[in-house]
Amino acid sequence: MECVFGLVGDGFAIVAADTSAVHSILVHKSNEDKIMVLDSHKLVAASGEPGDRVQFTEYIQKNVALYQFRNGIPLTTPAAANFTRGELATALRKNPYFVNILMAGYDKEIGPSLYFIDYIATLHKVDKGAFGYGSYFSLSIMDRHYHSGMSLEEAIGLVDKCIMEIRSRLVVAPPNFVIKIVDKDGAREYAWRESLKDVSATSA
Amino acid sequence: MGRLINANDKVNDHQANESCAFFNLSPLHSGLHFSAGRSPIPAKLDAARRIDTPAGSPMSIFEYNGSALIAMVGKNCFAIASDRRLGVQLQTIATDFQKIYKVHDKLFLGLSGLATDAQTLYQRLVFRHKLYQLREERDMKPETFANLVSSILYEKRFGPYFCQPVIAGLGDEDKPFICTMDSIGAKYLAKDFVVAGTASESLYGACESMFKPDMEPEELFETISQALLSSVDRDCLSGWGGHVYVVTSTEIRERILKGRMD
Repeated sequence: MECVFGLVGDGFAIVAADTSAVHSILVHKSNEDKIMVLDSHKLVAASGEPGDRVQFTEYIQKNVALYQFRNGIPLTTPAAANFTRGELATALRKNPYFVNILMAGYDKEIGPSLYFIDYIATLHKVDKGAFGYGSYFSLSIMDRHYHSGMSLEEAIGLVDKCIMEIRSRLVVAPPNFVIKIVDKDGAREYAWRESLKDVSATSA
Repeated sequence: MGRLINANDKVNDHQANESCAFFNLSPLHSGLHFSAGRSPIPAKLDAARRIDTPAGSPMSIFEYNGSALIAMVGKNCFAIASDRRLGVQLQTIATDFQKIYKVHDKLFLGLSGLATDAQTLYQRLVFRHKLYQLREERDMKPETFANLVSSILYEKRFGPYFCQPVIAGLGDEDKPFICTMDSIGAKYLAKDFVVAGTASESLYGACESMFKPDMEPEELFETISQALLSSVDRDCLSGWGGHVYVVTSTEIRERILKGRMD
């Protein structure tokens, strides 16, 4: 089951997602990147139906880029989150997307922010959020250890605690995770947490 | 409030399939959903709007997010209160979710039920009210707004918004006005109080026993807060504090309540 979670720290927002692409009992690959860099200062961590996840997040990414081309300025994180919610809400009663989204972004005036967007288009600005079976563990760990204004070291420590908890307590725990961060310097990959490396073709 | 909603559940299978497909419902069942809350539902009375929970027993779509709303009339004032929980079935996502919106200085709208529909409905209503303000160069009266909400909800009669609104405002000569309606816009006007949400049965009981006519704003605040907190303490899907607005002709006082945080 897909695990996605994120939190807001002091001047940055972090999201982590598992990297398993699973179809029923088969693991297609274990280095699938589920956190898309939406633009220079936004990240979208998505979980749900694989086809919808890729298609919908790419659709959002291209529309956010289009806005920037047309208007010369990028969308703010709340604007992008509300646009995403609008697209999900419009599609909901016709052809729904089964994608849950955590949108993290950094704006100069607002600072870091994290938006929880359900697959039925429930939008809420949060300090910490999670989706999937892993949320039962990661939300509780974050409830215990999170405080506002965490430093990067503290936040990474908390993310690692969540990953350890998911690995030890979830029955079909995903082995690998990717962590991405967004702050004033932009959105970028921070680290991978791998306990199972993909076997390369030559060594098989 | 649960009884009012049940009358709408009688839709034919086809419509039920369309509006419920995305909530992973079984389309095999239709009929009236008589049980309140989470009591066991006899198989042949399963509503088309059941949702499967991780725990197993099915839930109604109106109980997906959880909510509690009250509006009460006082002496030349009104109070409107909500809980603060945003949940996804049994899991709590946030404890600061806003369910009461200010339409204008003398008109407040509370939306209980499915959060996504509450947000969509709020956006549509604010849009319509802003257009009204541009055309009429004044704010909408509460009675007019209630009619607007009712017609917008009935537009979606065969694929409704899963919300129950609570409308509270000061009308002509600052006379307090409250009303609620079901998810397809059947208005229920009251002179004393109206309630909505998953905790509505408890709320009715608490309000009935605590309400007195012509309360001053401070006493009204105490009464509505006690009624809200005692009711949500008996409902697992709502709570995590309260949000109360007390509105008179001269001021709006917004207060956050701290109750049982569970």
